[in-house]
Amino acid sequence: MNTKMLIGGVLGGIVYFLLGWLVYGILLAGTMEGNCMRAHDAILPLWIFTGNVFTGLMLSYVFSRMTTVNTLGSGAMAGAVIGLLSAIGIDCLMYGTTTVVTEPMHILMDAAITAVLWAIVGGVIGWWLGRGAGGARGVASA
Amino acid sequence: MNAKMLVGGLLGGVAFFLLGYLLYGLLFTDAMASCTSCQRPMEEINFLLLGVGNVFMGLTISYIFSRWMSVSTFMAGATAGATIGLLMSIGFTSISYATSTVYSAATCMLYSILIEVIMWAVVGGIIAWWLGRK
Repeated sequence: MNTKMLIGGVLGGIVYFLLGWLVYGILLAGTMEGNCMRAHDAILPLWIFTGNVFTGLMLSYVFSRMTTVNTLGSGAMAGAVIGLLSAIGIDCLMYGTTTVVTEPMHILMDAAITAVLWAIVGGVIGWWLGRGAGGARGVASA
Repeated sequence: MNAKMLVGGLLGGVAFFLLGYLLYGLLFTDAMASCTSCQRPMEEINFLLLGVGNVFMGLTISYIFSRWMSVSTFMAGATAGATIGLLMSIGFTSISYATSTVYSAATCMLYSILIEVIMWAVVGGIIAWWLGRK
């Protein structure tokens, strides 16, 4: 892991946090409430931010080692695919084993939202990693 | 997406399912059950969706590895899988802890992260081995 990759991850995490706040916190507030969801005033923003940064780092790590992700467009495409596949996977697992996700429709809704959010986050990270000569993969070591 | 990538995803999904049964269903059952009130009892678990979820997680890794610069052996896949699994599971468990009561304490998050890293390492190794075959 190198500095450019780490900054890309943090940048992606900040974008993810702001987008999540806009979409889940304002536009869709209350839509996905279930037995196990915290009330709006009991949500822990610091933990959300931590989670967003680690998700950004994961995408940045993956993109810095993929052969074709170094532009906004290629990052958006890869982010959308990874977000869609992993969100369907995680939501199906959560629905199958817990009562966190209680409506099957929420799986599709969350997967679609995640694909859009990760496309934007992926685009930002892809743009960042592709900036300047050499890019992140010139000094990739992990 | 090509046939080799899709088969790799299915292989990974099967491995995820078996490892999940072993780790969540047998070895860490009591530890995880004491961590949450949100877990379905065994007789209410939806195994069909569990299987579908595992296949999609396998497809996620297979998609990433099929575009990776140099993952073609079990060890390389295991290392990359463990790293991705670590970052992704910290991200996911942190957001889950922040927005739901699925994890009652930070130690429960650690259990989950540990299990996920093991699973992603093994599944990553299997998928990389598959994709690297001539």
